[in-house]
Amino acid sequence: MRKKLLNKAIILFSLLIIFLLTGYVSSEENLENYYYVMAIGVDKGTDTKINLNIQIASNSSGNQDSDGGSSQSNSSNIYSIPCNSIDSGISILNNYLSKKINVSHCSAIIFSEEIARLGIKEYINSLGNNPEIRPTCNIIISNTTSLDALEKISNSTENFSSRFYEFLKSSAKYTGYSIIPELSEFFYCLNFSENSAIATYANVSDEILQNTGIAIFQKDKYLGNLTVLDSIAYSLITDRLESATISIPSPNDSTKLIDVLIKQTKKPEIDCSLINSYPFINLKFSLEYHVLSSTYEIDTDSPSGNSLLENSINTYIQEIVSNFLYQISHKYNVDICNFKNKFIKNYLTLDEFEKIHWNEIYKDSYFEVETNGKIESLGIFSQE
Amino acid sequence: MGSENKAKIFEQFDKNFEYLKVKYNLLINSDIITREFEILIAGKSFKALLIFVDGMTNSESINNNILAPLMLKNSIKMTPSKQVKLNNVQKFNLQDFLVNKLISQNVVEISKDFEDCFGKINSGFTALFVDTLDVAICMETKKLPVRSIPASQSETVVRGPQAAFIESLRSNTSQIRKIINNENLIIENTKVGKITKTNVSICYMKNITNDDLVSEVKFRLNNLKLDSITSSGEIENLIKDNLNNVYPELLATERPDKTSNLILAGRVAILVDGSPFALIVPAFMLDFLVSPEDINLNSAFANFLKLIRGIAYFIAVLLPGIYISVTTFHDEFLPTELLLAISSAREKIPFPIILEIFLMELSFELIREAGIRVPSAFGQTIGIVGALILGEAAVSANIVSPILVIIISITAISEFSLPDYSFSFSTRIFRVIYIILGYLFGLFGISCGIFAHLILLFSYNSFGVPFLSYTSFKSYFVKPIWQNEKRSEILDTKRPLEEPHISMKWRNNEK
Amino acid sequence: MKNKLTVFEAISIITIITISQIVLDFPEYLVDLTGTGTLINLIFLAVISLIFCFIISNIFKNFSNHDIIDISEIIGGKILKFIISVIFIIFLFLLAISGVSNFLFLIRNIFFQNTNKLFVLSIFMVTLLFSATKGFYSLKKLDTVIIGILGLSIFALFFGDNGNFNSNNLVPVFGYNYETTFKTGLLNIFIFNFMLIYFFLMPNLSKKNDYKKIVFSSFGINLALLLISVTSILLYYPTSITHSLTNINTMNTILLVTRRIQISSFLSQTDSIFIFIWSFAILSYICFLINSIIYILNKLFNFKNKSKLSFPVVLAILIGVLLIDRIINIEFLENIVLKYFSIFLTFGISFIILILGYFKNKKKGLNNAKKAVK
Repeated sequence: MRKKLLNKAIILFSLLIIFLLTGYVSSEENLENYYYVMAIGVDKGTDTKINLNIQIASNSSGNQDSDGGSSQSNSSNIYSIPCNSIDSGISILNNYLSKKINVSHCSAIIFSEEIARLGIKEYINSLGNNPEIRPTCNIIISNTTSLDALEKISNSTENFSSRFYEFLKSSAKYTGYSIIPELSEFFYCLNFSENSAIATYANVSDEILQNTGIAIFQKDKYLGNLTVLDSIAYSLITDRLESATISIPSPNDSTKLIDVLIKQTKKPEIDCSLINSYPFINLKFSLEYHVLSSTYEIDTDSPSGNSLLENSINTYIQEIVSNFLYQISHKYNVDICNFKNKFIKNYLTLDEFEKIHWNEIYKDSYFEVETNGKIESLGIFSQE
Repeated sequence: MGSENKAKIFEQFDKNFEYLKVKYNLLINSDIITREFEILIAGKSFKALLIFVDGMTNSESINNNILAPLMLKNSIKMTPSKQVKLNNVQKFNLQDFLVNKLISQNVVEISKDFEDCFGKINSGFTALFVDTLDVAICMETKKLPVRSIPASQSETVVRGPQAAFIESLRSNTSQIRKIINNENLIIENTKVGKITKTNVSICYMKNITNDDLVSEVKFRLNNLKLDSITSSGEIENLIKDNLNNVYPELLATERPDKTSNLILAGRVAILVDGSPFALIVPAFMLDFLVSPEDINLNSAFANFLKLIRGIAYFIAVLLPGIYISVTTFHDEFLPTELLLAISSAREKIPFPIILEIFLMELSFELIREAGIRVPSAFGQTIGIVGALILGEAAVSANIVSPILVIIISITAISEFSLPDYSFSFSTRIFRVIYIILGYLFGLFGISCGIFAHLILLFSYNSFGVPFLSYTSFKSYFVKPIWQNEKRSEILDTKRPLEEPHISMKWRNNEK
Repeated sequence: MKNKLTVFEAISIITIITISQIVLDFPEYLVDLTGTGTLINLIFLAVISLIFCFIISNIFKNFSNHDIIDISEIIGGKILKFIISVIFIIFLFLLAISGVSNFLFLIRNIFFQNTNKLFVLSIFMVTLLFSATKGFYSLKKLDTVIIGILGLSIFALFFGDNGNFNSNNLVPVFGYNYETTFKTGLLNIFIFNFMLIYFFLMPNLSKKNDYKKIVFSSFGINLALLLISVTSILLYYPTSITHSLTNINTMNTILLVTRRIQISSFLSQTDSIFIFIWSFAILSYICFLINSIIYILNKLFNFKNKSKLSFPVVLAILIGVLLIDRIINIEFLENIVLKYFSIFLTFGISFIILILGYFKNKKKGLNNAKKAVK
């Protein structure tokens, strides 16, 4: 009898908990009740602090399919709202949109240059703290307003698809023309490290959006942008480059250009040491070159001609990298390549490392760049 | 009733006849045939009576082997010499004379009480009552209406034997004995049911099967106090360990080859008269994913099929639950394109997703049930109407989303690919539970469900053997047949080794 | 006999404890304290713990039918037995409460932002209650099955996020300074609290000879898992961030690592898979704690119906979880209370009792020998 009572008590306890609380479950959580944000843009506002632009993939409107749905989202809507913070802007939008806004599929955050100069820490922090948003989301700084950039993206001649941002990411790998830093990196750099944050620099021209170069931040303020070549140098140093195409002046005739595809064969060797209490950083690159344009000026079949071309490519890359390194260290004084981390390697404990005051000596670093590249292929026709 | 039935057979012929008339309701029972005649022996005439059930007996055999010798030969033997001989014998035994000299039937048994006699008559014997004898002579004249051995219907294979059990117990046991072909195969009989007294056979290998297992099976079968048993399904539910277990705990198969293999592996088969299914104990959960075809295939193919069936089980149980939980709670998990596709498909559906999914599940169950009921000629029509027309119409009427139709169809196909019928039933029950859990608590709810589900499965026993265990997971995938050296350790058999280390002797002889 | 453990079962139970504690973000507390020096620190602590393991396994040879509570009864009679049992029960309750509330906080933050806390808690508790009533036998069998996939998930942490890992983040290997790594870092020894099981294992083994094997192999496996998880954390965060982790109140460091794991571009966010798998570890861990509480309670009072005890125990955990409903309390409970409590229990009181028991046993043995001589 007692056993039965206890059994009943257990069942009752379980049922009670489930059924009394079922009222709390929100039935509107299903995915058709959400608008999925593809990208967020932040501009400086006129009356309010910011202008928030939100790009939403809309698939049903304008879709006349009788099949009941299409798999490709080929249009997108941009909503713009003046507000004081990103979260409040989303709340305002939620207020008048028929569905709730969900940022879990947001893959890019675009800031205008203007607002980036003022500091974007608070926006990044509120986004980085949001468990919904992906840590792999990209940060882009555009030279015009973000609204403009978003419009360019959705009106571009290509069919807009949510994959656009994925392609953006993968193209950075094989062109090297831009770098795609992620939100989490940016967030950590901004908050917890003396490292400077970097973002993609997007150049919005008349028709299209080009992501070119690196936007450099000092603390949370935008300092300036580096060019495509710097971006390639950066990718080389941080071992992110799969391949990149550059044009180098021909060694015989400097008016003519030769296109070369660069590939990194090994991780770059970076040696850091302290000479006369200044950092001395030695970088060695192992590369392979694929000459894309026909080289009529040089006899690439002969050993001498080959090595001539090889040397000129090597020197050119050395120049690019050195130029980049001196720019970031001497001009901007930002350690975006994280040489600090390489430096710590020489010390066993952090206390020992801190004695050298890295932040003060970094701007006087001396760099030595070596490139060890070989021409791997010359294309189909190498000579007349 | 009991004491009355135990009544001894009377010496007086008329009394016996009266008794039979009352008991068998001879006046209204049409299929009980009685035949009165006289036997002339040693100049004396004895009244005699044959009683048998029409339809169960072989009338040719009764005519030629019983009636003919009793009635005809007697007159021939009425020679003087014989008479002298008979006179010389002091003790003339009528019963022995009948059994040993006159009745030329192979199985002859003597019944002393009516209960025993009735049992035999009911199973196809012909009983002979003779005046002055207080016994009934029962002669086997059985000829039951049986169908010929059919091909297996519910467990079809491409490669392998096709024979299946039929409703006759003897025929089934003979099929097993033919395959095992060894004197150590024991086929014990016991009777279950006070009224029906259904014959139940327990088959096992004397030198392999664990004795405890055999005695446990006998103990359970002999302690069933109920009136009637008509099929093996009833026995299954009566002797299983865990009453609330929705999983089958006994393996039901209609294939003699599978039964024989499992008996040889050290298990016990229970055959019920009138049921074309053998019950095999103990059964493990993963046995239900094994197809009889597996042993006939290359082990790599067999394992691939087993893997597919394992995946099919998970899909059948979990897929709708995972779908509902992912679309409700974990939308970040889906690729963006897929998410937008689902979202746009769901947008026009007026129902909440839980209702939509139950609607689909219900209609699927209806189609399935209807498909079994309708004559097989209409079976295809049901499929076309149900699946194609209804599904297409439901989607274009925006009642269900096309993605959900895909989900439910994959689930159904997976369920059908499970080889055991009653096992695939269990997936339906758990599927509903997982749908509810997924809807309320997302993937976390599903993992809680799986956890509790596994805990439940691990707590089950089938005849003292764990229903699910780590070892059974390990032995799920079959080894090539020449590496199958050991019998399952869980069964604790008397002959743990199935074959020597090197079973392919010819390979070594080559050297 | 049914509940006795084989080698594999014992190892999987012990390993699941560590995996759960990894999931519950205990490695973050390690990294908090010693920074990049955690790996060295962990190896250093493992050497110390191994010495303990060695002593424990050797002493327990003499107590083949006793666990630590029986030994405490030998030394100090019923009173000491009662005190020790109560201490253990409190510790186990605290572990269970912190485990449930920590995991609840985690999943609520990620999946159930809009769902009521009690609602999520209810399914947690119902599952635990159901599993606890089914007894220890099912749990140990379950553990042997899920251990593989759980171990793989920890390895996946390490190998899945390869693209984002930077080997430079592991330096400097000695952390802040030698003092933090080797002296202050001694506190990190709390992570070896799974060693408490060793004090209870002996009478529950099916083969007593396996004790040593279980102790050392489970220790090795758990150490490997801890090292892998710590390495994953260190590799994921740049050094400078690792050293300021103390200042960041991260939700769950391990989970942040999983958020970066991508299975091609198709499954771009896999953390829900990890949560899905890790729920098993947590459930099995809490369920094990409940079973342990019942085991000790049963030793203390000898209940008639053991399985019904799970109901009040689960209820007590539920009340505990509802009492500490703030994240700051969970943090305090884990980082301060449980840390010192674990060290006190594992390397303090249990160990002392064991040593005392050993000497008493030896003395008794000597006395017996003397008697025999007389």
